[in-house]
Amino acid sequence: MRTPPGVSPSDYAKALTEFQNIVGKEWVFTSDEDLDLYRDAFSPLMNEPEEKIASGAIAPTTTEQVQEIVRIANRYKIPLYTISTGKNLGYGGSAPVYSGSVVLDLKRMNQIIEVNEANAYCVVEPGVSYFDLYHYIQEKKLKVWIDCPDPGWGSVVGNAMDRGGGYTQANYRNHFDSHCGMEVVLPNGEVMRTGMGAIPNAETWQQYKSGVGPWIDGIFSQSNYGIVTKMGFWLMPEPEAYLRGHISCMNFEDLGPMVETLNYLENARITAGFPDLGSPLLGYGPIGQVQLFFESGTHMALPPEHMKLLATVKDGRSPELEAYGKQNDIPYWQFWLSFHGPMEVIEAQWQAAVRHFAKIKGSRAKIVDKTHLPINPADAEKFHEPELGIPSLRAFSIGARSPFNPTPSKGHMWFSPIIPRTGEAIIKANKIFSAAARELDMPLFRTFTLPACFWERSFIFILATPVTTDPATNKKYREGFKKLIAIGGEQGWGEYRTAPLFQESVMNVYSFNNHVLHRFHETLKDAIDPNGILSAGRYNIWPKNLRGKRG
Amino acid sequence: MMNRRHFVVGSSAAVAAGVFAHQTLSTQQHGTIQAALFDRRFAPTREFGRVAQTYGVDTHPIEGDITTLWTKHLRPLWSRDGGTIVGMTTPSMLLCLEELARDHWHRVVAWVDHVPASDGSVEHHVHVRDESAYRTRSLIDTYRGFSGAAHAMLASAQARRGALETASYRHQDLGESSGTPTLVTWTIAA
Ligand SMILES: Cc1cc2nc3c(=O)[nH]c(=O)nc-3n(C[C@H](O)[C@H](O)[C@H](O)COP(=O)(O)OP(=O)(O)OC[C@H]3O[C@@H](n4cnc5c(N)ncnc54)[C@H](O)[C@@H]3O)c2cc1C
Repeated sequence: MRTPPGVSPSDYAKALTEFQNIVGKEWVFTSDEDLDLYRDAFSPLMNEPEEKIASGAIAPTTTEQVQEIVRIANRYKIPLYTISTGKNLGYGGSAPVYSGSVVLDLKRMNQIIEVNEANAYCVVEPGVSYFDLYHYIQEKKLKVWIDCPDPGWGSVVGNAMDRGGGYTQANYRNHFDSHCGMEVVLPNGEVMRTGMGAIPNAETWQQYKSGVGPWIDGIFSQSNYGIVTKMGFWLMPEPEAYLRGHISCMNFEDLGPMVETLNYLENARITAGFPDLGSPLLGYGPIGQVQLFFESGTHMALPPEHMKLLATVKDGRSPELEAYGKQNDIPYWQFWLSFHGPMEVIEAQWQAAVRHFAKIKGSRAKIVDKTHLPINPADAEKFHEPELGIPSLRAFSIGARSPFNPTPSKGHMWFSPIIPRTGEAIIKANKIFSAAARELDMPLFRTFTLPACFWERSFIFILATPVTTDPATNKKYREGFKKLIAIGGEQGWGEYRTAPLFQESVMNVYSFNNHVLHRFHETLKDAIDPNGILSAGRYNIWPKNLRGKRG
Repeated sequence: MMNRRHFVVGSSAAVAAGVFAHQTLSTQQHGTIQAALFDRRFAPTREFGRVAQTYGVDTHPIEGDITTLWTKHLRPLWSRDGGTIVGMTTPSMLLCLEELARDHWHRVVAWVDHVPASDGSVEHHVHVRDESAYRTRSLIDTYRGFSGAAHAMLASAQARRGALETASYRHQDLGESSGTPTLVTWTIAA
């Protein structure tokens, strides 16, 4: 039997018995076969001695059980690692940051406590997946939408706790921002409610976010200060109609003005749907089209002459390719905009967007989809479902080996730096990262890469760095990944989220005034969790007893 | 939610009763395999579906995406009592199913990777429990190629005892399977 680091076998045995008394024998896991289920399927350390593994797992069903588990863990100094559904693939899966911790698996806490249609919010437990919430809403015929990430299998709470994102309107896409009120079990076992939830019997827990006094919800995300057992989220009222179209421009130099126009339209809420950037000329599809391209095979359809000209591209620019694009009517840039709302409103918003883009000489606009909602479920697959608030697993239909993808990987680590919302920054980031990736022999930023617009006001690159079956290649990519983080940091760019292996490198980039932010995080940790039992090391926040000692 | 321990005990009892000897296969005896999945896009996977039917197993074609199958069949199945499923799909589809299976404390217990080689043949890398290794070998000798893997998986789906054994074989005469991507035949169980 595995034992958590720093815990004697006899203490661990006693703790396990006490855990079993709380949740029942069958929900405490210690066999290798069961614990293998908590390995990170995308681990860049897969099968290596340093791979992060669990020593045990416990699956409670109630907040009271979680409180008891935390009290026992304090007594025996057992390190716990909380997951909701543990599907954090590309960012660590369900494996603990501090190898040998006991995973506190909340997937059996799966109650949908409330979905309020009249004021469009919900309250859920951590084990509720996007599929669960979506089906509940469908079954009850409630007129609200969820906002979900690409794979619908994850937890509404877990995704928000790692500050994930989705694809509908701007104010719902940022899943942590769209939460309202949480219930948290603190490291001493006490249960606390935030915002208006701190008032006994408040009816406004999901209606006003901050309550009064310091607004502390944020400190529980990407951290290890508590275990969230309930969380409220604002939902989008089901829109009446949906419109999606694209704006195309023919010149390389149009990128900057296009981004500026997009920013104005988004900041003024003229467009609120997920803006999606593509370049037909550079062979770069928008995110929402990627799976459709793969499924239909159209991603392989570039003619040989076009393919040849791609080799002339430097930092996104190629006068020869630009000329070819003009001859063959292939736009350099294509920005997809989407709108949700009453038909007359979204048509007017689209027209306003087109009018603003018309200031860029030669821009052209085309409506691709215009439909009343809800759509017929049979038609959903014509769309990138998450943009219509429909959870799916279709993201996994694109990983097969094909002529376009000759060596499908064993998974990936997401490289996801935030950069400024300008055309200039897109070019600069490509220049810097592609030179670095070439030197480090990393398969990223090869021809030209466009960022995504998950968040308002900034751009984010979300690039999959492959995990392979070859340890030497994985080592090279791991080291390269850390160097890319540091290179971005020199430019003032930092990741929004990262896998455990890179959390220290990423936190190091946030170094203003001698890392005062990180020092503050650890000061809080010492005050809140003196025994260091909760998710040690998450986002490089280590408890005092492990600081400087962990491997 | 099912009691996973009861389920595990149930499956071992079935193994002990010896219902998996190839000679005695029948629809009823394969009641323990709850579903067979195959990707309808490729010839070898379609063949897997056909072979599974001869074993009397419920077959489910998929086309890349498994959202509907997951929602309508697998999830209710695993939430209710759990259950063994077998299939032949792309590796990314298996990855997706493997993650979904984790939610119900199910896992991949045996698999065969089918890797196309540059000379047009396919290498089959078999990973099974040693209690079924002998039977697997004889089924592969009898049926060869992809069919061998299909029979091996269907006949040994409940084998859980012993260490994981790995063996490889290469098959030259591919016929309509040439040009298919890397595929994998697998068993997921509690
Ligand atoms: C192909 C692919 C596409 C993806 N697309 C997206 C996407 O579009 N958007 C996106 O955001 N992600 C995406 N991901 C990443 C990931 O799969 C999702 O974010 C997923 O929802 C996270 O897993 P989860 O919801 O099960 O959260 P969990 O794994 O349960 O939680 C994530 C982390 O949050 C913390 N945590 C969880 N629950 C609690 C709690 N109750 N209290 C305190 N801390 C907690 C833990 O440290 C945990 O490790 C993608 C991944 C892949 C492979």
